[in-house]
Amino acid sequence: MSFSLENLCFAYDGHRVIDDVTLAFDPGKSIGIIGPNGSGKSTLLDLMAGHLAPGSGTVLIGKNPLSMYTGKALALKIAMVPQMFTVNFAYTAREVVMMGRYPHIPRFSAPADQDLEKVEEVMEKTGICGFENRLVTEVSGGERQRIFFARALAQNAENLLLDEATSSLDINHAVSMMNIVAKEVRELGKTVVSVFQDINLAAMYCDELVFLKQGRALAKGPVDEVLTEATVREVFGVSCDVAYHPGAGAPQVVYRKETV
Amino acid sequence: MNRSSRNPSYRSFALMVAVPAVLLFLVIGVSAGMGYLEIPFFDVLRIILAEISGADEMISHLDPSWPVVVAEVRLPRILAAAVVGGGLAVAGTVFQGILQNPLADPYTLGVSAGAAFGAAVALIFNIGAFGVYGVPVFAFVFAVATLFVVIFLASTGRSPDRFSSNNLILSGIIVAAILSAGLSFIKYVADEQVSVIIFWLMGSFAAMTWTKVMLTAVFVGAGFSVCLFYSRDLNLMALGGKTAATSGVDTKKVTLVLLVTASMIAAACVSISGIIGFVGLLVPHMMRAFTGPDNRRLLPVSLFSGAVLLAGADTLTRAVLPGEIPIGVLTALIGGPFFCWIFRKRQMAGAGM
Repeated sequence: MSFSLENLCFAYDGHRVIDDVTLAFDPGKSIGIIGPNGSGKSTLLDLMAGHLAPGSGTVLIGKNPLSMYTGKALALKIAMVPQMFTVNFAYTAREVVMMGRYPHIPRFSAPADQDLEKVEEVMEKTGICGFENRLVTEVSGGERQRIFFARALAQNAENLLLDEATSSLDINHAVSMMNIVAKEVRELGKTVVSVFQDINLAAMYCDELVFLKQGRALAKGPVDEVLTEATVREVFGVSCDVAYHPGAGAPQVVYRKETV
Repeated sequence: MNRSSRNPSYRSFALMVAVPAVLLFLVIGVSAGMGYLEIPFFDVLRIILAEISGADEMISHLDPSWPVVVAEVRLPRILAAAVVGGGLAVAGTVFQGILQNPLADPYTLGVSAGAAFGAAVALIFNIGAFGVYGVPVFAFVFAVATLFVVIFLASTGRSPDRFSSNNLILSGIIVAAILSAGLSFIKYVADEQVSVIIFWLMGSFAAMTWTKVMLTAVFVGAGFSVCLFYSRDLNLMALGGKTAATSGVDTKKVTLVLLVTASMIAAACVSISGIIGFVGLLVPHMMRAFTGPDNRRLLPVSLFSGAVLLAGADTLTRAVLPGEIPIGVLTALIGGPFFCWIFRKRQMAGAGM
């Protein structure tokens, strides 16, 4: 068990955002979190990353509560690609990726060979090599997202949290990023928890899905079992057809046009 | 293969620190010879060496008034300007990093307003408890008190907003506004003493003592070390709080430690010199063009460059210009238009610098 949430609750000013969520995430699995806007997806991820303290309930990493980990110990467990970010200082793409090695490099030390190798490897994989010396303040939104994704990979933590990490990528880069994620899961046994807007992309790349609505986990389980017309209607209020698609290797959703 | 040969930027970093460091040495030496009494550069060096080593025979052939002028009058003033310039530049670098705004300055948290109010209180009540140190002590105490009030104000609210850039800036503005109203009131009731207050506010390094220089140097030196220690964490904070936190940075602690440290540096500087603007804003901003945004490089380079700039500017007003202009006025007169130019350039370029 790499991650588990037990009776997790969280409220902003008395308004419940996460309502009694209990989930378990196994190592070597990719889990997608899906839900309408304001359903608590990002809050759930922030609770799992320790950015927010739960109102009640616990987040466990392995057998220990998240609050037991501090600073660098936590950084070796969890890496995250946030949803929105602005960078006001002109770091190069390479410098940002190198910052992912922070928990591995002692203060005042220069990067060791293994750090430099990891950074090269990650930049190669994510296709940043072509613009490694460009400034994060000057690249496009999609390129910046890839740089932050690469930074999280360079951190080499056991668990990777992606908060709509493919949202500003074109389909080519979205697919190639998810392929990299799938490889990390398969080959290195990492646990990846990602928030998705695109249900079909989630179905293709995740082993399990969690459907959130108003802070509650309405459905959870393997993609084939939980991704149904009934679930999508209940969670999003949209009519659709769900059918296995051999090209995707997973069920895919086609939405029905409302006839007026 | 060692690192310096693998990474060429390590060599250029040494150069980036060495150039302003050598410049600082030259400015101090040249400036100490300038003024009403012209003293040759090498005689200045001889006097400094003799003062340090106690070897008086080195300077026995010189005019006996020269060592007094250099060591007791000019050097404290020049070094004070250098220490304050370096301190303000370091504080500015840290503020820009934490507030994630390349145009923030060391006075953002109301330190200058607090110091000004404290100094005015000391001046109007003619407080003699600390002798000649009454004004600096009051300025420092009020500046630090202001800092803690601002931090207290900014620390309310739920966790993601605590110590956010907006919260800190707004709290600073509110507290500074109240203090400046208080300052206006003191000026209003001050009668003849109002001119003393106004002169203090405009900044000056005249009548500097070694004690003041040393005390400030201790604050700036210790503060600089703390800032350098956390410089890597400060780099990561530029990627946003969440990314920094999941990378292992204790963002709350680093923010608080650096804000307090940088403000203490600024408070110590302001309390001996009066309000000197634009150095803390412009120096880190300009140096970033050479060093890049990496604070591990930017901090030492800013320290030396700020020292050169303010020591140079103070020499300009002391020994070059026909009449002495208050140093705070001079830096604002030069820095203000320069800032406008940078601001325009930044707006035209679009986003970040």
